[in-house]
Amino acid sequence: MNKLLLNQNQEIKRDGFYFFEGVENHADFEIVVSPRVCAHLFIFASDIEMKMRIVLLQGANVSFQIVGENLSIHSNVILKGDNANFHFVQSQISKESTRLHLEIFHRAISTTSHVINHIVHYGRKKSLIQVDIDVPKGIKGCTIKQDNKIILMDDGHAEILPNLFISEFDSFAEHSAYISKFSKEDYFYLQTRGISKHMATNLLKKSFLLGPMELSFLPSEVKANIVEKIGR
Amino acid sequence: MLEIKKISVEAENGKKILNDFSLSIKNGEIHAIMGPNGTGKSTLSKVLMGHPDYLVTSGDIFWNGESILSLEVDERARKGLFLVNQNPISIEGVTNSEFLKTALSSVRGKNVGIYEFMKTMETAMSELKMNENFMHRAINQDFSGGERKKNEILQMKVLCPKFVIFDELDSGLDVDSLKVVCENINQYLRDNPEVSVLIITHYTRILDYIQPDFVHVMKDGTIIKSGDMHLAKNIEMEGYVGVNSMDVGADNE
Repeated sequence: MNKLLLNQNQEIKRDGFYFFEGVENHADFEIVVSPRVCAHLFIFASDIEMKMRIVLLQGANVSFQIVGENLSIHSNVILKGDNANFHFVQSQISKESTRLHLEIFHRAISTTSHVINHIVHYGRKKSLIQVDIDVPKGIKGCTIKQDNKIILMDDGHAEILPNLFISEFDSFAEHSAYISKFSKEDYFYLQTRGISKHMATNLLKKSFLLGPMELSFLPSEVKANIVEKIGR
Repeated sequence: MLEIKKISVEAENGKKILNDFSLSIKNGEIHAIMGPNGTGKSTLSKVLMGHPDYLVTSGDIFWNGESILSLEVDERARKGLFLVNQNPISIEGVTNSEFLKTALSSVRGKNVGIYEFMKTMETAMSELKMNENFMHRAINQDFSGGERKKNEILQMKVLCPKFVIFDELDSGLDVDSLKVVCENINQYLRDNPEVSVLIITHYTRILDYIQPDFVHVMKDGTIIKSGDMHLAKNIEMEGYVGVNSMDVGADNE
């Protein structure tokens, strides 16, 4: 497990797992991933605004996971080299007005972007997810997937803008947007087994936020910390 | 003992589904309810568990002398009521083991140790001929219909309820799976003779495996005839159309 500072520009030249530290209120940084490097990046943070630029060179394979609370993120991702792959998972509990704006630019052939955003939103403020994916004409063989979900716990306001700007026919793309509460039938099923509504909510919240994530490579105390924070 | 006293139930859209429905099930008794589609059989099972989509507009439901109408779904479950669902749902991201351990701790009112829990699960899964890796999979995710029903019975064996409702247990189960499931249910009933059962079914096939003490026929939201296995066999041969004129069983007054 390699540790990186959150507010510092980095070039990642080796395969590995990278955990970001040094979280403050505001972070602004760039990461460049060298050709054919396979990197797993992980951020666990709360109450922070992040602005980041990520560049993937030829054959680079990046899995980027962000989990926490009250995160506002603006990210530009440029798939600059052929066969670069970008897998992004963001899971958070939002109690303030949060905004996630992800822009992904496919600028080389046979590149892949797969985005999963899951937010559990409390309170009456607004939660926004906007994902813009751009594939210009001539950039062939790209695969684009977006899965965006917001669960409203109260009578808050949420918006999802799952945008695809694709000018090349030789592309495969899918996107989804879902805003709702946890299913009444899920609650009923869990409660018919004696599980209280409060505990059922915690179970559903944990599965919704941590289900899409890969946590096995994290140190056990970090994993326990995440599970404890999300499960509250 | 479960006592349902003249309950009338409406759905969210105001449609009346159960109409002055009454039934008493003593400890250790097995009752079966049959009837055509749309008569309110599955609604009855959900109402007993307190599903929020249904409103009891009159009457009451008593469990061991205590009214349960004001109790939440989980409170009724902790009192010992258990529903084997007709179409068990899947919940992505919650593993069977985490779910069942949480449920067992809730039902017992204290945290259950991991070793004790694993032993209980492994024994129950082996008896149901279930693959061990089911424990680590999400609830019913990518399970076949038969596997979902087995999962329901696994939960029953682990949580040890006192009153079990089987809502069309046999639908989606092949012959071999039905046999395994019913053997496990019968063993559970032999080990726990005070447990009472309500079987909701269209067909007599399951009643050949789990023999009911009483058979009731439901129509238009209420019981119109009661009897024993002979009534069920008559219905199997002649259908529901002539049930009122059958000379087996008693008409409901």
